[in-house]
Amino acid sequence: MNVPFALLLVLIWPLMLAIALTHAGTRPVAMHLAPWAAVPALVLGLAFDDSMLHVPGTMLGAVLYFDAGGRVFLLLTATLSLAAGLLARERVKGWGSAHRYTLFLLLATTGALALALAGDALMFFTASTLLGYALYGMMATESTAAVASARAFVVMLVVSDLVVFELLLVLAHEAGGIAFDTLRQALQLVDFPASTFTLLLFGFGLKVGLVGLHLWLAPVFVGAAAPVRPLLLAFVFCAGMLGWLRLLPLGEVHWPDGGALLQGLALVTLLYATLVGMMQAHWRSALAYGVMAMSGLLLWLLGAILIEPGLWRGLFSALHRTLLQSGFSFTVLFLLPGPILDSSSWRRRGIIVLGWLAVLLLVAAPLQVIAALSRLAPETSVRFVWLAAAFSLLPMRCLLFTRTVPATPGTMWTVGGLSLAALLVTLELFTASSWVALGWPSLLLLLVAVLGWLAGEALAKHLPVIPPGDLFLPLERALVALVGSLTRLAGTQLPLLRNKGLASLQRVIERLQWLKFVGRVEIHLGRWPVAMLLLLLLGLTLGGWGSAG
Amino acid sequence: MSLNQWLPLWVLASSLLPGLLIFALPENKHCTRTVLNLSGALIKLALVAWMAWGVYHQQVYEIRLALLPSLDLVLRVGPLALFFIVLSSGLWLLTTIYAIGYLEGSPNRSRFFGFFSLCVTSTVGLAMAGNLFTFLLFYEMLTLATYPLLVHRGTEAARRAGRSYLAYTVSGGALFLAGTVWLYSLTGTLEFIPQGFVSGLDTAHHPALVAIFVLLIAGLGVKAALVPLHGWLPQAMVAPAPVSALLHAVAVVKAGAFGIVRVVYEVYGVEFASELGVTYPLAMVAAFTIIYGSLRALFQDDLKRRLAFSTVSQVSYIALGVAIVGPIATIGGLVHLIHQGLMKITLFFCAGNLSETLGIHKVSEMNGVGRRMPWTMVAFTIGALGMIGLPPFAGFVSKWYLSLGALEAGRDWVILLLVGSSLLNAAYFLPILHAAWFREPDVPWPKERRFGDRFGRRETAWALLFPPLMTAALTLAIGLFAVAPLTPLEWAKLISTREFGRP
Repeated sequence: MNVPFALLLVLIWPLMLAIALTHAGTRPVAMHLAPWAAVPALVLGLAFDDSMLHVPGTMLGAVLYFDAGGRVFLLLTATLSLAAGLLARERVKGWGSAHRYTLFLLLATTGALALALAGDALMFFTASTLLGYALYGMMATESTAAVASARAFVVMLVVSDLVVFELLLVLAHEAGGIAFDTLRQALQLVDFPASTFTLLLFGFGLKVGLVGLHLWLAPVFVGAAAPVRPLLLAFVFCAGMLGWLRLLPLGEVHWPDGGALLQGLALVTLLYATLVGMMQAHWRSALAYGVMAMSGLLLWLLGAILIEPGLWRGLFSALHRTLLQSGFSFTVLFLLPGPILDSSSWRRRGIIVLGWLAVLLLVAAPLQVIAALSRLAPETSVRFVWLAAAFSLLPMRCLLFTRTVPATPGTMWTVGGLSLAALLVTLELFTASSWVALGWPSLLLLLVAVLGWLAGEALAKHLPVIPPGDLFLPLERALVALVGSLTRLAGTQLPLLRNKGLASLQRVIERLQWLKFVGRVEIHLGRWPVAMLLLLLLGLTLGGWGSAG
Repeated sequence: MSLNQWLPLWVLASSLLPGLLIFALPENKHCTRTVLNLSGALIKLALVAWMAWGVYHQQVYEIRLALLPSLDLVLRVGPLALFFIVLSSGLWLLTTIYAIGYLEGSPNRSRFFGFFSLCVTSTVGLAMAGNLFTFLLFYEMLTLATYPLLVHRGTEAARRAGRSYLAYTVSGGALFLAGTVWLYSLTGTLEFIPQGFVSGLDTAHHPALVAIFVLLIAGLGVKAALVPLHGWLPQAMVAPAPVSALLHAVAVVKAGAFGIVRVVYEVYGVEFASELGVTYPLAMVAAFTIIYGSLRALFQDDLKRRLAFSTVSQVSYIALGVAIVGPIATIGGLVHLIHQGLMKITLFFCAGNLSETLGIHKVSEMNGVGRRMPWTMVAFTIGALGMIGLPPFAGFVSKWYLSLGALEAGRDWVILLLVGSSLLNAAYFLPILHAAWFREPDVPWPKERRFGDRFGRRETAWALLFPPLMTAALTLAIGLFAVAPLTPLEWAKLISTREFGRP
C-alpha cells in the first residue's frame, strides 16, 4: 500500500492522545489507548510501501519520508515505544501524576517516530528535540535519583542540540535548502570541511556516546526507570546514529581522510567502552558501556564506507539489520530485572532463558555485517570480526550481577516480544547467508563472549570499580563548584565591589574644591547677560560652521 | 479624500477616542469602561485586518496633514508599518482583556485605561509615521503616556522607577530630537523612503551623517534598552503586569527597536549605512547587549527582573538582524519583532498570574507551581522554550534566519554569539521549568486567591488565563506553520524583498 497521508497520521495519533490526556473528560480513554500509541506506526512499517509527503506551510517546508532506512528505524522506534508504553502502564498504576507521565511518554513516542520519518533536517532536529525533552520530563517525574540523571541528560541535550543547530546552519547555508541529500552534498562543498565534520561528529557523537562525549550515558541508563530505557535506546539510535546515516555522504564520495578519522575514533570508543564496561559494578551501567561499544563498532563501519563507497549498497541492509537486532537485544537486557542465576519459579526460569537469548542475539548482531562484508571486502571483514569480538566481551558481563527484584508479568511479555523480534531479525541472517562463511566468526564471537563472562567474574574481584560515567562525577562536582563560585561572585562580591567603588568615587568628588568654583559659575550662568552672550556665541559658531559646510 | 486615505486616522482614533472617553468616566462605570476598551481594540483590529489585506495587494494607505511649514504630519501604511501595527493592535486586545481581569477591584482604573489607550495610540502612530518628524512626535507622546502607567501603584518604588524612566527616555528623546533637527538641516527632508534618503548627500557630509546616526540610535537605544542605556527597564518591573507586558512586548521597547529598523532602512538605507561603517558598531553593541542581558538574567531571583533582563538581551536580536546587513538577516531581525513580542508577553502574563493568584514573585518560590496552575505554566513553558530557540516554537525561526543571515553576510561570529545566547537562555529558563513542574512545593504559597464558580475551582480568573494561552498558542502556531501564507515570516520576507530588491 502507498498512502503518503498515513505518514502524517502515524505522528498525529499519539499527539491527539496527548491532547486528550489534558482534558479530564477524555483522559480515561486516552490513558487506556496511550500504551498502544505506536501501533499504527508498526503497521506502517510492516505493511506500507515507501512514500513521501510534503506538509505544506509547516515549519520551513517539512517533508515526511519513508524509505528503506526509515522503515527499519520506524520498526525499531515503534517497537521500543510500544514496549515503553506497556511498561509505563504498569508503572503508573495508582500514581497521582500518571497522566503527566503518560503525556511525556506520548510526546516521546511522537518524537521517536518523527525521527524515523523526517525527510528534512529541520524536521529531524525538531523530532530529536521533542524526544529529548519528553524523555527528560519522564525522568524528572520519577524519583530523586532519576532527577539527578535527568539533569545530566538535559545538559547533554542542550549542548548537542546547539552543536547540531550550528551544523545544520552551516550546511543549509551552503546547500540553500534543508533536504538531507542537498545537505550531504554541501558537506563536501563547505569552506571549512574539517570544522563542519567536527560539528557532525560532536553533535551526534554526544547522543551516541562517542568517547569523551559519553559521560551522560551510563548515569542516565542507571537512573532511568524501566519505561524510559527503551526510549533512551531509541534516542541513541535514532537521534544519534540515524543523524550520521542521513548526513554522512555514504556511498556518494571517496573520503579516505574522513573515513580514517571515523575509524580511529570508533576504535578508541570501542576499546574504552569495553575496558571501562568490564569495571562496572552495576549491570545497567555495564550495558550502557555496551551501547557505547556498539556505537563505536557501527561508526567504524561508517568510516570503512567513506573509504570504500562501493560497500554502501551491499552493506545497507546488513547494517540496518544489525541496528535492529542490537536495538531489540539491548532493550531486553535493559529491561530484565537482573540476576538469572538462581531460579525457583517459571518466571525466573523465563528470565534466564530470555537473558541468555538476548545476550546471544546481541553477540550475534554484528554477524549481519560480517556476512555481507565477507562477500564484498574480505580484508575489511576480518578487521571487523576482531572489533566485533572486542564488543562481545561485554554483553555477558551484565549476567554476572545479582539483583532480587522479581519481574512483573507485563515485563515478561514485553521482553518476550522483543526477544522474538530480535530472533526473527537474526533468523533472516541465516536464511540469507552461508553457514560456512559465518562459522568461524560466530565461534570466535561466542568464545570471546564466554571468555568475557569468565574473565569478568575473575577480574571483578581484582579490578577497581569505576563509577557509571567514569569522569562524570568529578566533572559534575567541579561544575557545581564553579557555578557556586560564579553565583557568589555575581550575587555578593560584584555588588560589594561596585558599592565600594561608587563610595570611593563619591568621596573623591566631595573632596574636590572645584565644586565651589562650579557653584559660582552656575550663579553667573543664571544671569541674563551671560546667557545672552552664550546664545550669541552659539549662533555665531553654528552660522560659521554652516557657511563652511 | 478617499476612504483609504482616512483609514490610518481611523486606526488612530479607534484607541484615542475610547481613551479620552474613559478619562471622563466615573470610577464605578466598570461595564461602560470595559465596553469602550474592548470595542476600541476590536475596531482597531478589524481596521488593521482591512489594511493588511490591502497592503498585501500592493495598496499603500497615506494621509498628510500640514503641521509646520514644509513639515507634514504623515501617516503611511506599507508592509513594514503594518508589521508593527498588527503586533501592537493584536496584543493590545489581549492585554486589555488581561488588564481588566488584573485590575478588578483596584482604584484609578479610568486613569489607567485612559493612559493605556493613549499609549497604544502613540505606538500605532509611530508605526504609521511616514517621516521622522511624525515618528518623533509619537515617540515623545509614548514617553508621556507610559509614565502614568508606570507609577500607577503610587508606591515609592514606583515613583522612583518612574523618575528613572523619565530621566532616561527624556534624555533619549532629546538626543533623538537633536539628530532629527541636524539631519533636516542637511537634507531638507525627513521622509521615510525605502533604501533611505541620505545616500545622495555629498561625501563631505559623511562624518556628520555618522554623528547623526549615533544621536538617533542613542535616542532610540534608550527605549530599545541597548546596554548601557537599559538601566530604566529592570527598575520598571514595579509596574503592574499588564504595564510590564505593554513595555516589553507591545509598545516602549518595541518602539525603540522599530525606530532602529526605520532609521537604518528608511533614513539611511541599510547598504549605505553599511558603507558609512555604522552598522558594524551597532552590531557590536547589540551583541554585547545580548550577552550582558542574558548573564544578568541568569542571577536574578525576582521573576520579573529575570524576564526584564531577558528582554534587554532578546530585543537586541532585532538590532543585530538589522546591523548584520543582508536580506536573510533582515528577515530574522524583523520576524523577531513579532516573535519576541508574543513570547515575552506570554511570560509576563504568566508572571502576573503567579503574582496575583499565589503571590509568587521569585523564582525560588515557584517549586511545584505547575501542579497548582498547570495552564499558566503550560503557557510559560511554551514562551520559555521559544525564547531558548527550540523548534518548533517561534523563537527558533528567528534564530535560524538570523544565523543564516550572518553566514550570508560573512559574520560568522554571530553564530557563536547566538549559540552562547541560547545556552544562557536555557540556563536561566530551564531551572524555572524544572522547579515548576518537577519539584514538590516546599512551603505554602505566599498568598493564595481562590477563583471558582459553580463549575468548580479554577486555577485563576478567565480574563487572566485566556490571554497567555492565546499568545502561547500563537507562539507555537507561527513557529510550526512558519511558511504558511500571511505569517510573520512571510511578511518579513516581503519587506526584505522590497528593501533589497531580491528575496
